Amino acid sequence: MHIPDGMIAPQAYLVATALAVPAWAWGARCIRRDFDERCIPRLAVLTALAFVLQGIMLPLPGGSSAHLLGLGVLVLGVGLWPAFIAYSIVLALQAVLLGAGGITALPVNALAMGLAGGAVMALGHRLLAPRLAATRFEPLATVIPVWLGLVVAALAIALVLGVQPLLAVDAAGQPLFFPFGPAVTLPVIVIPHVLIGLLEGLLAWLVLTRLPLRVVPA
Amino acid sequence: MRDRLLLLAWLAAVVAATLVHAPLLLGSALGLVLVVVFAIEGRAAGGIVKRALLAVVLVNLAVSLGFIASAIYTAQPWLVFVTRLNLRVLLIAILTLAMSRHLRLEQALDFHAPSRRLAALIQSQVRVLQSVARDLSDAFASRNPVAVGWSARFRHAGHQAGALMDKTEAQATRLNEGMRSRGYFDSAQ
Repeated sequence: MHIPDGMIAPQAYLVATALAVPAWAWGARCIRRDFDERCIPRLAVLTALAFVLQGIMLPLPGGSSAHLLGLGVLVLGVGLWPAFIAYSIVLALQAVLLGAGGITALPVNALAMGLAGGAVMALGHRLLAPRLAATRFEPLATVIPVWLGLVVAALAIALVLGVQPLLAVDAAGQPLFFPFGPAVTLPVIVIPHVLIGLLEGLLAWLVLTRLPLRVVPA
Repeated sequence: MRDRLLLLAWLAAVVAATLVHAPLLLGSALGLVLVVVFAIEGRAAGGIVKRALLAVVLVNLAVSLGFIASAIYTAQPWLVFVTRLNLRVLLIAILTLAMSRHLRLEQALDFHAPSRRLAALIQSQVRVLQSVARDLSDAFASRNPVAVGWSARFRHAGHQAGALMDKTEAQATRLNEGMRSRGYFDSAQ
């Protein structure tokens, strides 16, 4: 659900950058504090998995795209703040190496997906996991938060895109950047991600049930 | 330093492209960039332009056609917006792909050791993941000469995800240790 470069106004990406920079600084601090040499490879692998999953994109008429994020695996596998940093690096790599997404849109994409969506996933998992542990509904403690986090991320992206025609127009009243309002972006972006969120939740559950079986190599 | 400057120059050019709104100026900038790219890259420039067009065509087509349809329906002009949007997005895409051929990202990030290390590991793991996924997929196809059901495919996907995790994490660990033992991260600490 990336926003590409050239679709959002400087007013939007400058504000997002101002919000994202302290969040990135805090995330980097968490990685330095909590991650030693042995944990970095796991973070790298989960991040690479997210990168590969995001390479399979289906463009949406609303100016965005539909694809798995790999964010659920990252957030539940390594924690919110390291996942936010790793996910931001995925977005940056895609923007710089593949021209997918964009560098001006990076702070918006990172905040909407990595932080807002990731926070919902982490919080939801923290609430559900103790209640559903050792029951037959245990997978739902992964699937539901990941699904909800992805839908929240899609909602945030749709809202940011939808306000662009209000932020920047030319003298003739024509939009300078993304042209459609929330009435278009909300259904077009959010509805496909209701289904994609389920796939993402199932994928996160499949991958994460493998993780505890293995010990991080010393 | 060269890579960091390249990254900063590209960043400045992309931001500048979002501050220019006149289609004529955007078109001139695109023409200038194409001349420079063809002069520097030679025959490879055609590939860059093709990749840029492929990267933007579906999203731009969707937005442009949607806008044209709604503009015709409401009797509004659409040509200026569609021209501006497509020129701007194509300009940024060509700038990005031309820059990415020369950028060594881990060198550009040498001011922040953890990001540099993570970027190097992630790039290496992306290649490993793609290669292992291709191998496992080919193996699954060779074991099943006739089409198999969804449940078998689902089980295979689960095993494949697990195997991918095992293989790539082991390789990432070896790579991380190798880089550390050779002092790869020391200079930026």
